[in-house]
Amino acid sequence: MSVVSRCTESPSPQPTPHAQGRLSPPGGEEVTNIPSSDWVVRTQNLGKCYKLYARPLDRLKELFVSSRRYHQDFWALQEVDLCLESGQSCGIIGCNGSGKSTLLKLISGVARPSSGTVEVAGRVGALLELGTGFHPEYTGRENIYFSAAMLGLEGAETEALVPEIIAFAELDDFIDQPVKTYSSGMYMRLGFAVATTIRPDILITDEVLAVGDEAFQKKCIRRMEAFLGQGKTLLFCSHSMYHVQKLCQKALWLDHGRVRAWGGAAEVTLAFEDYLRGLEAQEEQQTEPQPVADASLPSRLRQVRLLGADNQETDVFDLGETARLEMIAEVPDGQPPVFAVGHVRRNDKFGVYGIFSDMDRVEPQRVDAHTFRIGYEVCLSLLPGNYTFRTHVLDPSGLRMFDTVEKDFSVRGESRELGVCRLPHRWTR
Amino acid sequence: MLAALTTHRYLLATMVRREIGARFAGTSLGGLWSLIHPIVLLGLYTMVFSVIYRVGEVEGGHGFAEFVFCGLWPWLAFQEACLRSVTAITNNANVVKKLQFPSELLVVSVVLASFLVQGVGFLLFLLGLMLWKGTFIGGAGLLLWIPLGLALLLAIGMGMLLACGNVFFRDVEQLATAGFTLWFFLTPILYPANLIPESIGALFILNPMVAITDAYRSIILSGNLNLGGALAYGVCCAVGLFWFGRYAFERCRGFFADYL
Repeated sequence: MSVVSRCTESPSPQPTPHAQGRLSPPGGEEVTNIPSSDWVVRTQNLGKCYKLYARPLDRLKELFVSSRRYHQDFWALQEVDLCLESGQSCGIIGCNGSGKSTLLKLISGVARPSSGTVEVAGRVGALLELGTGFHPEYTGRENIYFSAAMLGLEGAETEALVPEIIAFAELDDFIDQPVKTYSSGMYMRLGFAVATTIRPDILITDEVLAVGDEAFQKKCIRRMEAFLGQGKTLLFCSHSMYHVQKLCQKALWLDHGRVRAWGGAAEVTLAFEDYLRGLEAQEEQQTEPQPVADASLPSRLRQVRLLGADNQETDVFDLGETARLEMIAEVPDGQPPVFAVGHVRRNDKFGVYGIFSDMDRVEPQRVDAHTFRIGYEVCLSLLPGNYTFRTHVLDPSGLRMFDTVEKDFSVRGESRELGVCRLPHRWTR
Repeated sequence: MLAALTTHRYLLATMVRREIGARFAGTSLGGLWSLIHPIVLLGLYTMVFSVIYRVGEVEGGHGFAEFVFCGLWPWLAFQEACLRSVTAITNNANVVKKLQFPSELLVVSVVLASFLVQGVGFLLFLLGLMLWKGTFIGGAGLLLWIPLGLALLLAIGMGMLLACGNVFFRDVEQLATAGFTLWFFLTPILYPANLIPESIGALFILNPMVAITDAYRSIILSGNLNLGGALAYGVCCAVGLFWFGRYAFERCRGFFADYL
């Protein structure tokens, strides 16, 4: 996965720089020619800085009275280089406060960048919030006309789209009622219907799928998929990795205002989930006391080697590749010990699978009077991510654990499957 | 901005319609309220000055009520336009923060809506006045476009400045309310300009609303317009403030989303 992309595509004619503060009317004539294969959204070294004042009066002071700095700079976004071609969909992920919404605001032209540039070619349908600008006293129909006008449509254009909007929002019986009488679900349906029916070239949505019932979410996703099918561009901000994986080819992971990762949606979301589990595990570790290690260990693992298919030591495997562990234990009493191997997902210490040699009725090979050796081969059906083999040596009865050695490894590959491991399966019909 | 006004004609018309509608939404008397407020003010001033203070005729034999009417209605349109503009951006924070659109239309639509609403009342009363006096201003009435245009330019310029100011400092809203009350009494609406003492005359010369109010009044009451230095000053002020307001708004626009 490439961390921070540098876009090298050739520049497209007639960009619309928001950065210069020019008023570009949404849907204005000069920006409707979309380059077919070139970029549609491009940001270079994009940053946004907010000035924080302790009190409102400080702002006045700084402006008129003294030359002292009263504000603190807060960089909500820094050094973002992003390039999207038409037909591409990009998910923006990250923890709360990582700058996702700021990025969308800059791209949709609502806010002005503090550094760098944003260029957008095409009509932007920004859906930063559902039902923006609806007036509660007006009817749904009146609000459709107003909302569409705000997005740059003329009356006649809206007229033609109204039936489609009403049908999508499923509001036939209520469309001539004031919006204040709508349930929140009806309100959102109408907002989503208006913003997506006006056929923007670039659709920017911020967490709109987080609200609404499942049926509505499915409907929205179908519409977004249809939208992508038309070769349009989607910028999609979500906390749902499932939605990002389903709708997006690319993903951008923001962390404290900086690009942490940029690449295929599958690998970036997996890496982000890994990171999240790591955070959780850290919290757990802080709350749980660590078990005290037993000081007197009669047996110990002298050597543990992790081998790939070519019999070379490695710690990187492809999904489905066979891994081999070789363990050598020193046993003072000379009795054949029990070995155990655990497959653990590294960040949250989730035990995927564990097996003891005595369960499979396998006895280790005796090397000399006090040394035993055993091999363990496994087909790694684990989904891409970071894992640990935890190897143990136990007493002959398999009840007392003497020593533990951990071997970290990672599984590479691109997969949109969910869960921890790939189970043998087939589809039937 | 003029380009924005023409490309967004439809949006502007929609916004003005919505602004007017929203103002009276849910009231049972609706648009009548826009008449009631000025009538109450006009009646009040007439009672205090004509009945209690026994002010007789003012300036060339006109009754006090018709004298005040000529200045009061245009002032109310101007004041309402400006005071409503102050919150045009802050009250629409959710739209300004979430949607990329020509936000100056928020101010322009508020100003136009105020002038339209007050304009209807003004025309009705003008008609009543003419029927009552039996005189018709006729061709001179066309001259009303001059003070009206000036007041509009002034209001849009003022409105933009106030709307921007209020985004960064919410004190502007309070300041404007007090300021406009002061401005009202410093404009010769309840008294003729010739009663102003020499000693504070300079204070009034700077006020562009003096020329505008005078223009309205002389067109309605005497059917002519004095194209003097005062009017020229009014034109300069209106155009200058309009240009400056537009310029300031353009500079501030990009920061709205950050400060709201």
